[in-house]
Amino acid sequence: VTQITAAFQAVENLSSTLENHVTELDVSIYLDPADCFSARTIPPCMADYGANPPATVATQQATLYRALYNAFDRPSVTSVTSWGIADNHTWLNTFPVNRTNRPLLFDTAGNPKSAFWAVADSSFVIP
Amino acid sequence: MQTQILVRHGPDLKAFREEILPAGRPVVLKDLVKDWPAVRAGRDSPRALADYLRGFDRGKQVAVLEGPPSIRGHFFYRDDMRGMNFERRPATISATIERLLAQASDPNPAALYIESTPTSEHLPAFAGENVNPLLPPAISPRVWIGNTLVVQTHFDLSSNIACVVGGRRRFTLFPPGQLPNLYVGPIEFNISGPPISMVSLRNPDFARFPRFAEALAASQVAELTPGTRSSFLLGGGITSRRWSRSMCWPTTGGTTRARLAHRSTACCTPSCHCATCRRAARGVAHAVRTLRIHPGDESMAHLPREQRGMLGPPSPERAQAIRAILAPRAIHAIMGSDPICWKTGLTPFMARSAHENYEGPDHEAVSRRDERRTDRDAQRLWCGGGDGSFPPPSGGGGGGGGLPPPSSAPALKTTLAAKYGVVDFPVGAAIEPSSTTNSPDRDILLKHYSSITAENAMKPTPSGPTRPAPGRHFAAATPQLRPGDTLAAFAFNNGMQLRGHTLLWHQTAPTWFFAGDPVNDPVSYRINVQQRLRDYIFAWSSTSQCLRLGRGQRSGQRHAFDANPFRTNSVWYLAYGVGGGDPREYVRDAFLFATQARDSVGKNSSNMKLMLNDYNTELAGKRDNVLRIVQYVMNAATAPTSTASATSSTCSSTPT
Repeated sequence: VTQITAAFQAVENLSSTLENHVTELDVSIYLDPADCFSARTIPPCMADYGANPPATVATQQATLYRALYNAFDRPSVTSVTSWGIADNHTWLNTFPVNRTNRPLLFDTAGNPKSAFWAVADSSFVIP
Repeated sequence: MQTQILVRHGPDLKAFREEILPAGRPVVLKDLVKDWPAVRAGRDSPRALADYLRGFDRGKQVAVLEGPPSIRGHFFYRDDMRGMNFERRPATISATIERLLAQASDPNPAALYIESTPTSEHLPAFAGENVNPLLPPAISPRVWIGNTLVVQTHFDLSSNIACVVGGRRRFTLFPPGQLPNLYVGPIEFNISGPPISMVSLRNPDFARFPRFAEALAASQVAELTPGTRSSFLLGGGITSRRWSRSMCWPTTGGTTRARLAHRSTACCTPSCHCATCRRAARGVAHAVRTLRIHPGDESMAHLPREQRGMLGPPSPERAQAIRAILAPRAIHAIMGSDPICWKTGLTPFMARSAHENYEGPDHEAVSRRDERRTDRDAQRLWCGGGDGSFPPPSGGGGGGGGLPPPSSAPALKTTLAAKYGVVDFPVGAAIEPSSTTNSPDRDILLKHYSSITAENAMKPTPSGPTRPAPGRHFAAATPQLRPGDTLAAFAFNNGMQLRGHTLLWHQTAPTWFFAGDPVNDPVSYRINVQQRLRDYIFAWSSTSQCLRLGRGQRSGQRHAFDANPFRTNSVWYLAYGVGGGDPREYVRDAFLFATQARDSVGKNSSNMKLMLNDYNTELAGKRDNVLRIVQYVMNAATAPTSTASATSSTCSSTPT
């Protein structure tokens, strides 16, 4: 989040006429090492959680989502787009490797996840 | 300096609808209401007009603004900005007219006016005798009555046809682009709803407000006498093909200045209806966003810190102010009688405006449907469904343990707009065309999102399968509805913004673009590629609200950064480099041609933005490279057509 804020600031510093658009937002449930993206195999990419990822994953994801959307609260940020609607369809199921991922705000059935509530309701306590 | 507003003599309904309305520029419609009984009475004498109006009065009280003679008709903030220099009191129309007449011979009268008031409630039979031939009867006129005064420059929230029935009235209108030069006052605390300019029109203080000189130079004026009417139509979105190359006037800048030589004057305007609300509200939203481009402190320096409210730097007070604005009651106050328009009408017009230049096969059908919408239809169409509601006053929900029930979820677009204080803040999702019909995607989209991006459907390869016929740009050449068109239609029909993604991406460039013989004829090869880039972008410009120039370049390795910020293995880079050319120029050309394309469809950086889209900008090395390219594009954008190019950088966060 700090780094992303730094990116916003860098663009703002370049010119006040520039806007920041967040265009392809998702939050993977895997914390892969950098070489995962060049190797594109497991390992170094994390192993597949399968259909039932641990509960801590949802908590971490919701926490990060909340922090991100708070970081977007700056005048230069003029739009936010998620790369997908719900977890039923996401490119992260095949990138960087074939693996179950749940990176969006709505679950595979289209219901709001913890991450959604963390973003939409500041008083929501992330379980 | 100021120019006179264009004068038209007696346009008929057809000309009004087909020429004047789409043009979206101020115009004086001369003599159109000269035969109104009210105008005839006004010509007789102020007394005759007063008696005529009183004949309709139901005796209900209206809001009357009254200031002491010392303000000389200039209704404004007090010097300390902690209050106003006038008071607002309830009184009847008849009693107020009598007071105006009684003061007529006073050389130093109190400043007095009846705020714009719907005649349907207060003078119900007025509209029946004084018919506006250009508007449907459902739009009921409003009446404004006052003595000599100046109405501070403000954002009018409706498209107006102002009819001067008695006295004289001078209008000064500013184009929306001048907004930053008008020194906008507090949004939450103002005279009667719309925010006002802090600059006096009568005595502009150029030392304190230097940029106002530029605004004044760009303004248009008209002095109207009874029977003349001025139509100043707001709404940047209504640029049509007809005006494709002209500056789009409107959106936010409606401002009036009234100087009434006679004692009483009436001015009628159609009440805000949904379509105009949409435009106007969007205008204000745009205004807010325009202002937000500048760091809060600097651009609002003309206001005392405690009065900046939602225009000031982020703070708990600002967040509170924004919430207050978004609360339904405040919206009601801002929007007059029609909060519904506010609630639903912000983004739809953007989608429509994108669609107007859209060549898809169902364009005609959509246009016809749009024309048929009356005010009420529009409300039903745009505002229908239980969606778009405001979040419950106290959040909370389930709290500990599980999640709140899905049905209690607030619309994400609404909560984020409130959070960020931008009424039409685009909350988007990247989708495939199937999501426009499949459940649950469609339901989620409609409830939570206000913008869509084509995940793949608008990338070069899938949408540009074949070479165009000679002389044709291929986007419009295919008769059947293509995937990108499906998205455009969905966005339009549901009042969403549409992001075009993407014009240029090395991974999806059609191979025939690069067919040829770079070895034997490098120069013509490069020109051919350049030409295709041009054709390609022209072909695309018609569908998108935000064109994004995709990842034409980026470092090859995720965490490794080259000294050359450009992606050197991009097919575009390679093609442009053939024969000793500057390979970087393809990025410059992409923006240049996209800007030309945008100009050719009558759009500008305020309603169609060009983006540089890249990922991993959270990583410092990658970020620096992206910024170098942005700088390169900004430096290269020297051609006249691209001066307004909004070169924007994007951040996208993928995992980690």
